[in-house]
Amino acid sequence: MLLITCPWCGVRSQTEFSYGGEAHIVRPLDTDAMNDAEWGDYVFMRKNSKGRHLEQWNHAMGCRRWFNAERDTVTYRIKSVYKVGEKAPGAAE
Amino acid sequence: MSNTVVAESPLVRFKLNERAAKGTGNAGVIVNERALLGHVNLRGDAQDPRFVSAASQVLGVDVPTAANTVHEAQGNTVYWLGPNEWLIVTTGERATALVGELRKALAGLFVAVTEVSGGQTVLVFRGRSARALFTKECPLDLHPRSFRVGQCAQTHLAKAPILIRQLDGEPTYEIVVRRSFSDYLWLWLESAAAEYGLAMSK
Ligand SMILES: [Zn+2]
Repeated sequence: MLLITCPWCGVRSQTEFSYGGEAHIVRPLDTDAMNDAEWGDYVFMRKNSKGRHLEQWNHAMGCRRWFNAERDTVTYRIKSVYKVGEKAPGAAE
Repeated sequence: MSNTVVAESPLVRFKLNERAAKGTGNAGVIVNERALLGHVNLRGDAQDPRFVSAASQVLGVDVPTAANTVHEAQGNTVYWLGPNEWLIVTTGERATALVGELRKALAGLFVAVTEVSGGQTVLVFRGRSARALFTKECPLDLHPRSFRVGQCAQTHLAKAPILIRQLDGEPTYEIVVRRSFSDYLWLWLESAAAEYGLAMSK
């Protein structure tokens, strides 16, 4: 059982959360100009990193907010959590 | 054909009042339902002082803006559910009027006021084994160092989502459970509390 920190509620059990996949995937703006390969990349292609992974979680059985977490896919250790709209830890953008 | 509408608790088939008449004996867990109260879901911007002050004025109690806290006064209990969402529990008679008063006071602001009275019910758990019962299948840390009177939390009990708060140091717990989960939760309770002795009170 993982303990996950919700940015609002604090430390809670993993059973209260649901996983939402890779974070920071931005929906393209000029969708009419996109070809199938670009659509496929947006819809299906994900990083599948070994190690540091930025991902979305929902506190489904708690405050029901989405937030982002920085998790190591090898150790499952969650290094940090941050609210949607905040920059990823150490991100340049 | 009858044209009378009778409100019933989602737990009506368990005949809690009849069972309460039998007394509590030496039961370790004593439950009573606070049935048919008024429940109102309120959404708005906690960062907007106009929203917070107008809502607080109607409710007669400050809308809690700290996460997982609950404020209670003037017959209204206001639970923090999220950074822009609250539950107000009031009397069954008061709910509809309260919705109207909130909508009027908050007109022009980006808000939602929704009566959800029929959708959930309230259960109160007392007795020497109340905490032991919750620690069986509620993942929230109920130790006094992390959960106290004045706090509330949304979590789950067995597989049912609940909103929980502690009412006193005994400890006595109060939960709000949705209508659709209440039957399941009661059946879980009957078996989970059997070892402590389960009784109902009015
Ligand atoms: Zn939360």
